[in-house]
Amino acid sequence: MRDVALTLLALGATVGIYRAAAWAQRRLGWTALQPVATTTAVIVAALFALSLPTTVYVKRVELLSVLLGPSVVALGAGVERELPRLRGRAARVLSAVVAGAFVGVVSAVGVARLLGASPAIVATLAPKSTTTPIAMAIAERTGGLPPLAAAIVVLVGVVGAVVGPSLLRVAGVRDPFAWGLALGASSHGVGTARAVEEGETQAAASALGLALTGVVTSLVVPVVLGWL
Amino acid sequence: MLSAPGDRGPEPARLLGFAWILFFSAGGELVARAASSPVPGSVLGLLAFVAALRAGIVRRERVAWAARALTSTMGLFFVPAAVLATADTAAARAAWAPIVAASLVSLALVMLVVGKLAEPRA
Repeated sequence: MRDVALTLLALGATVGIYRAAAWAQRRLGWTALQPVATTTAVIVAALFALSLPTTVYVKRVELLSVLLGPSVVALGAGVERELPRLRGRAARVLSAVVAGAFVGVVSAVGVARLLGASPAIVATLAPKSTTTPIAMAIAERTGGLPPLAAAIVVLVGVVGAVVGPSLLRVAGVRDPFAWGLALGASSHGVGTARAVEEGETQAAASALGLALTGVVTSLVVPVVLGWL
Repeated sequence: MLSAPGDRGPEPARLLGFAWILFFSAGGELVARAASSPVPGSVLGLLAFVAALRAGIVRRERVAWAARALTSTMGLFFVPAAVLATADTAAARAAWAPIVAASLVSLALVMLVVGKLAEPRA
């Protein structure tokens, strides 16, 4: 009984902290205050204060990790809704995402290699454009470090969501669909959360960019790691 | 966070939407494992789910609420992995410069490449 109670307590506390963090972000209007980052910081601080090892906590909230996969599958509903809008531009969108995924993997692997990173770190960086569950799965298959891959993905997403809109404005990307696609392809879930604030087209395009990038990246990473 | 506009289905129908998503998720994991696929199971599940929605095997309105609930709370499901990442920071500390440089260069390039290529020609 005590075991069940502790598991429920850990889950309840995590959900509660996450909701409070999401509320604080909306209230303050700071995109940079990502609920994932805030929640992690609060939980790590709490575990430290209680002298509890992180592994004990992570075991208790395993249910949340199990739901990562289904949350990726659920993105399919938004993607499917957006498919009719692709008519007439499917080839352009697809080639943009394929080129983006390719550039993303090659540049991450190339820069990391140039700066002397170890093979494990290079394999961890390769899937950095994808959403966390996909990046972790890819890193695991290619000899990377899944938890570090998750941290890098969150970093990339937060930076992309905060800086991305200005970068796209300077680059002259004005079409709402292209804007959303670029944010989702480069900054995955966090970028998509930012795109939701912009409008329906941007949000759906972002979900599409996120999903396609996940598929293409999982195919490209093993190939590029073999070459470079 | 958990409400989808225009969705007034009774509770059992909403739960059925969850069941469909969990079913496609499990199927994706099983196929990825069995075929030692380079594509993660969640991505295979997503593709199959899109195909099933397109084909009308799964009704859109049945899964709308569950899909919205899961995607809007996606951030919450990242938390255990992010907490775990803070436990073992030795690898990250030893290689922070390549990690930050590669992440940021790659991020900017992907954003520009996708945005510019997807922008309709004037």
